[in-house]
Amino acid sequence: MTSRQSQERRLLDRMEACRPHGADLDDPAMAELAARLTESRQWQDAFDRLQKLDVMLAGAFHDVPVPADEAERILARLAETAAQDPAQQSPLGQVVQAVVTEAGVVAADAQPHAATRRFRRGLWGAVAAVGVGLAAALALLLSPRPEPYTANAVLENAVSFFNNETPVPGQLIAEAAPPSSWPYSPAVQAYSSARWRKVDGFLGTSGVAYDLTTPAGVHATLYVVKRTVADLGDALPLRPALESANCCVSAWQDRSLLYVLVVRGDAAAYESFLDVPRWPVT
Amino acid sequence: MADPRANLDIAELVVQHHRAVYRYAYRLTGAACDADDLTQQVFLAAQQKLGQLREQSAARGWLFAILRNLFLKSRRRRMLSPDDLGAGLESIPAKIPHDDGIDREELQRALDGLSPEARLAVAMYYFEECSYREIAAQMEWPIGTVMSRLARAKAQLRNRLLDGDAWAGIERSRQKV
Repeated sequence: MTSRQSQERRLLDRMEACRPHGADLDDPAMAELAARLTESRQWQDAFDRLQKLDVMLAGAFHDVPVPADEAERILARLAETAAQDPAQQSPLGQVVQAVVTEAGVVAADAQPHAATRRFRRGLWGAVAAVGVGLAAALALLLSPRPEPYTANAVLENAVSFFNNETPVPGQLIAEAAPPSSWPYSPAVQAYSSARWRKVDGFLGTSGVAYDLTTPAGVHATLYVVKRTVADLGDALPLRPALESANCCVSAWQDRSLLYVLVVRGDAAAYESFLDVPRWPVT
Repeated sequence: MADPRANLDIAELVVQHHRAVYRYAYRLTGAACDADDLTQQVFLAAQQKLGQLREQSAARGWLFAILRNLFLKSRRRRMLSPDDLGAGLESIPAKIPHDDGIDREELQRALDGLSPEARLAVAMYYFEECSYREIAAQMEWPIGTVMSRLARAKAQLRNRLLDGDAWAGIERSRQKV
């Protein structure tokens, strides 16, 4: 490989390492690449195309359906392991283990040579027992915990919640007023297509979610819950507090209400939901 | 006596993070049954090491680190296939597909064709959005190795996803919508 080929190879490696919308080009190790992008239109065009492709690929990476009972299977496996180690027994472990044991007893009562109907009843009884027990365990877990969330935890949990939920479309705000206890924030641009719905399990509590879509097709959800987080500001930030998993997210506190805005896309997409003055009015 | 809060924490980790862990596991293993098994292994290991987790907000990254280690251990016994040397600037397509033009099954087939190390590198880049420095630190690879491994793996992915046949497939799937 000639020295020119080596240099091009090195520059290409650095170009591939730059994340979309990241500040990787500011890294001193990228100085040579940054200079080449300034000098060469061809390289700059290739870099721009690569960044767009990377955004698309990142979205595709997350596009994986998750089995609906995955959590239950994991919890059952954890309980089974804990049962084999008495030192790991806990109230939760005992609940789940008791359920699993009971299910096993019910299933064992169905003799191999018994009538098919009795066997099936026993089997369904076991399934129902496991289901009820695990549902109770999950309900226990999803109830609000005494420990407060940090700002960082709010943002990360919000992204995860936004990406994982598959909500039923809510009611148009123009047709049905949302509950006054969880009002829309005047800081967030309102669009005529805005819908609201009740939401459960967001940061361990219930509230209202406003689903928003700009005329250009950018999606976002504004979550409103009654929760206090100590280290949050009292206004919608002009820039996203966190960019992760193809989302931009910010949170702010308005008295006892916590607002969390999650936007699908980049910082430019985020800005399309701001309804605040961006420069001083003189 | 076991700390009751510890088991509540692991169950909460399951509820909050099992989907992300499963998706990541699926992208690494390429099969639902392997992803299911690997996901359970992750949380079993997490249950054992819960004392290492200092902050809830770091849980996701911590679980992903466990996942990567378990994945690599499961693959180390196999022969490592050499990655392609990669191409130049021309490896970046001149044409950008439509926004919904990357089929998730095509992506998985393309991933399955990479070596485990290459697959991890691109998964950390695209799924975890790690910088090359973060990948180097987490995987204890030299920075130069990370850059070249990432570049070649990304070029291979693009070649498989956006070659003639794949491009025709993307166009056909678009026409169905």
